[in-house]
Amino acid sequence: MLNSSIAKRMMGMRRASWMIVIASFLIVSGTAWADENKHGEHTTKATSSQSVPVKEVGTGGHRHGGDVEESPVNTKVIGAFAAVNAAFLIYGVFRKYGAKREGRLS
Amino acid sequence: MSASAKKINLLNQPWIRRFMKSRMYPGLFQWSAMFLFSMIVYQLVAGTVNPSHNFGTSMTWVLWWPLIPVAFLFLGRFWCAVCPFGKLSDIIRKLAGSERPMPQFLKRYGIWLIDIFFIAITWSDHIWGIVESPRGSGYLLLLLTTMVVATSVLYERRTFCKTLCFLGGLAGNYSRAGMLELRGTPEICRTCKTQSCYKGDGQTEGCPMFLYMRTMDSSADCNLCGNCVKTCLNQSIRLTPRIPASELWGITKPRTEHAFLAAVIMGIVFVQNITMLEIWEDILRQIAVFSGTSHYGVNFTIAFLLSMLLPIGLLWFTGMLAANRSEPGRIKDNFVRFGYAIIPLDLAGHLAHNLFHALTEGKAVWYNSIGLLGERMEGSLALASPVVVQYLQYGVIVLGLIGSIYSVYRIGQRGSWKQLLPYYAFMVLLAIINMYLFTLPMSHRV
Repeated sequence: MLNSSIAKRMMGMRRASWMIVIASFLIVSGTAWADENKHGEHTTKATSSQSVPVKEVGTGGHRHGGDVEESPVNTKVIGAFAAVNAAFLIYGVFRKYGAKREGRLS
Repeated sequence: MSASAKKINLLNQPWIRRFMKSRMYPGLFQWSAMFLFSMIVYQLVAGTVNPSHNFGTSMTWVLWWPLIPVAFLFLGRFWCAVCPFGKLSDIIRKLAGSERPMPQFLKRYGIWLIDIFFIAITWSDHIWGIVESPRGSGYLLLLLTTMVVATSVLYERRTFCKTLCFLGGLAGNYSRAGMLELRGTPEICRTCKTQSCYKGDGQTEGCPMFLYMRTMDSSADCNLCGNCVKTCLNQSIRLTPRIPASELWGITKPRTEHAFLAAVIMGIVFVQNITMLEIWEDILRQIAVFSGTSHYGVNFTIAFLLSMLLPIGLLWFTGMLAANRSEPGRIKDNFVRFGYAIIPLDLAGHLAHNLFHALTEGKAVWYNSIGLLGERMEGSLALASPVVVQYLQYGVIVLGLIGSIYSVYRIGQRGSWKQLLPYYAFMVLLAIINMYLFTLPMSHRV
C-alpha cells in the first residue's frame, strides 16, 4: 500500500520534472529567439560585416584562405545551448530535492 | 620483498602525499583550467572570427592540442583530472546529480561510442572547418558541455568521461604508453575490507572513473584525480614512474575496440597531414574523377574512409601473414593483440604533426593573449625554422618506431625474427608514410 503510493508519487514527480524540462527549454529558447528578432543587430566585440584579410596559406580542405567576414554573436545558438543546459539542471535539482524530501537520498 | 615494493613510489615523498591528500589537489589546477576555459569559450563564441587573431583558437589548437599527447606520455591521464569538463561534472553532480548507475548500453558499448565520436568530430572538422572557425570550435565546446551536463544530471560519477568523451579513447590509448602509473599494492588491497577507493569515505567520492584498485591493471582509465589517495585508509596507493609503453605488452585482456582505435588514430593522423599538404588539391581532383562529383564533402569522405581503412586493412593483412594457416581464428587474435603496438607510433605521429603547428605558429598564443589587453602585436608566428621542425618530426617518428617495434617484440613474447617480421615491416611502413608526409610543405592552422 505504502509502496504503491510512493511509486505513484514518484511517477507524478517524474512527469512533472519532464514538463519542467520542456517548459524551460521553450521559455529560454523563445526568449533567445525574441531577443534575436527584436534587436536585429547585437553588441559584440566584433564589428558586423567588417572584412579582415587573412594570409593565404595554401588551398587545402582544412584551410580555404581568403577574407574573413566578421560576424556577431549568434544569440539563437547560445540561447538554445543555455536553454537545454538550464532545463537539465532544473530537472536535476527538482529530482534531487524530491529524493531528499522522501529520504531516498542522504 | 614483493615486486611492487621494489618500485619507486612517488607518494613516499611526504610533500607529494600531503599535496595529493589535500583539497588543493586537483582543485587548484581544476579552477585555473576552468577560468581559462571560460575565457576561451567566450572568445570563441563572441570574439573575432579571424582564427589568426582569436585567443580561443590559438589557445585550443596551437597550444592545448599539441601539448595533450606530451601530457599523456609524461603524466598519463593527468589532464583528465584537470579538465574543466570533469570539474563541471563534479559540480553538477553535487548540485543536481543522480546516483543512478550508468546504463548497461553505455557500459557495453561506451568505448565504441568514444571511437565513433572521435571519428565524427574529426570528419566534421574537415567538412565544416571547426578548427579554423572560432565559432565552430566554440559550438563544439558548448555541445560537449551539454553532454557533460546531461550525463552528470542523469547518472552517477563521471559517466561522460568514461563512456562518451571523444578524447577519452585517445587519452586511454596514449596513457597506456605513458610514463606514470597509479596502482594499489596487491598485498594490502587483498586484505582490505572497506573498499573506500571505490565507494568513497563520505567526504571524498569513490573513484569517479569506476575503477577498483584491487583489480586495476591499466592506466587507460585512471585520471590521477587522487580520490583513492585521499580515501585509502591503508596507504596502499602507489604512484610509480615506468618505462614508456611498458603497459602495452602486459595487457591481459586485449580488446578489439582498443586495437581498432589505435589503427584509426593512425589513419586520422594521415588525414590531418594530407589535408594540410599542397598536394591535397591534386588528390581531391583524382578522387573526383572516380566519384564523378566535385562536391568537397563527398570526395573528402572517400579520402577519409580510405585513410582510416589503410592502417586497419594493413593490420588485418599483417595478422593474416603472421597467422598459421591451420588457425584461421588467429587472425583476429593477432589483429587485437598487435594493434596495441601501433600506439607509440600513433603518439609519435600525433606529436610530430602538432609539433609543426606549435613551433611554426606558437607566437600566436602570445600575440593573442596580449591582444586581450588591447595591445596589437604583429609579426612572424614561428618559434623555430621549418628545417628544425622537420628534423624534430623525424626524430619523434623514429622514437615512436622504436617503441612500436619493441612493443611487437614483447607482445610476440620475444618471438623469432621470422615469426614477427610481418609486424616489424608493418611498423616500418607506417613510419615511412609518416616521414614522407612530413617532407611535404604543410599549411598552417592560424
